[in-house]
Amino acid sequence: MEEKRIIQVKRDILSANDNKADAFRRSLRERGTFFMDIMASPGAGKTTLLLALIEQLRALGQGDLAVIEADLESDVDALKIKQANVPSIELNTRGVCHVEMGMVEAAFEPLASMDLDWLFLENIGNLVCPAEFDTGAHCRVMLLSVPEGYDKVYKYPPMFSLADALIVTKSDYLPLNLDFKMDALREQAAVLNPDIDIFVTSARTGEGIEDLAQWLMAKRAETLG
Amino acid sequence: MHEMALCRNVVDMVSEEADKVGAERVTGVYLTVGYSRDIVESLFDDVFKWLARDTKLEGANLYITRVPFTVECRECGYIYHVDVHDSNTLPCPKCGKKRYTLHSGMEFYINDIEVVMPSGLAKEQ
Repeated sequence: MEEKRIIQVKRDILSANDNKADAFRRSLRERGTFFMDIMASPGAGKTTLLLALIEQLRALGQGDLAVIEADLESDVDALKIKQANVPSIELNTRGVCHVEMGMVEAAFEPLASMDLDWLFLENIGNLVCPAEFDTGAHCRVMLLSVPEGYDKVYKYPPMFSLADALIVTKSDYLPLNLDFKMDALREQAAVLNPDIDIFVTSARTGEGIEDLAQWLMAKRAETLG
Repeated sequence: MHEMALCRNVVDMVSEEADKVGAERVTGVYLTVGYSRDIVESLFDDVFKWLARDTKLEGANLYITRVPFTVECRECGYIYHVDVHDSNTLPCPKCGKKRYTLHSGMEFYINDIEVVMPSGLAKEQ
């Protein structure tokens, strides 16, 4: 008769990732680097918003920025960022649907010798999986574009629950998408996440970009103390 | 499809715990998973079986207990259950407001494991 035993474990399944994320956050803070994670579905306009935001931050006197561009495959986005004269690292997850700490640490290595004020992560285009994995960022924002529609909050609750800010992108399409109910979006987002800050932006017209940049600069000052 | 990455953590951590107590193999793994965690249980189970091959966990049963999604009303403090498939359950049943903070539903941990100890040890007892 074999002896069976029940062993109490009580361990958080994501603890390894969470601990690494906490350590990474701390070390970046000590170096004076503010790290923001940008999450959204494919095509929401992450790269375009990032480029507009970087331009705005530069106009406001912010200099040393770098971007980690995560994609399942390709270097399409990393090249776009490089063309804007911003150091960028392509993080290809080779089919993995999200970014984990091991990937962030490896991608950051080539940037580690730089004196950065800002680090951005463009997460994998996906409204589901990235929400489950802490990336070590000081601030996590999510994008929702006007063409996607306003009614996404209750369909993807984890993402809306954890984001520090909801950035509505492509607001220049609002006149074409009359079904987009901005008030309903605000109300639903506040149900899941009463503290969420909401910005309505268009990288094309520049609407809301300066407000967003100011908000980020305040977040950065608050984080770095 | 992030079940693979999550399940890999489970298999690694359970192996570690089984080694710690000198277990021969693992026959059961008990997980507690909040309802807000987007995991597909059947897929998690399949991935678990696959990742457990050739380890101490091969053939182990996976038991997943889901914790309901409950929230605490920001207005009156009442804790209630929200069904994400039914928007009628969003307002607080006590005060009718729709502002809350998450109370439970994000749990994600390995609770217990059931292991088989080496037979020599069993005989001694």
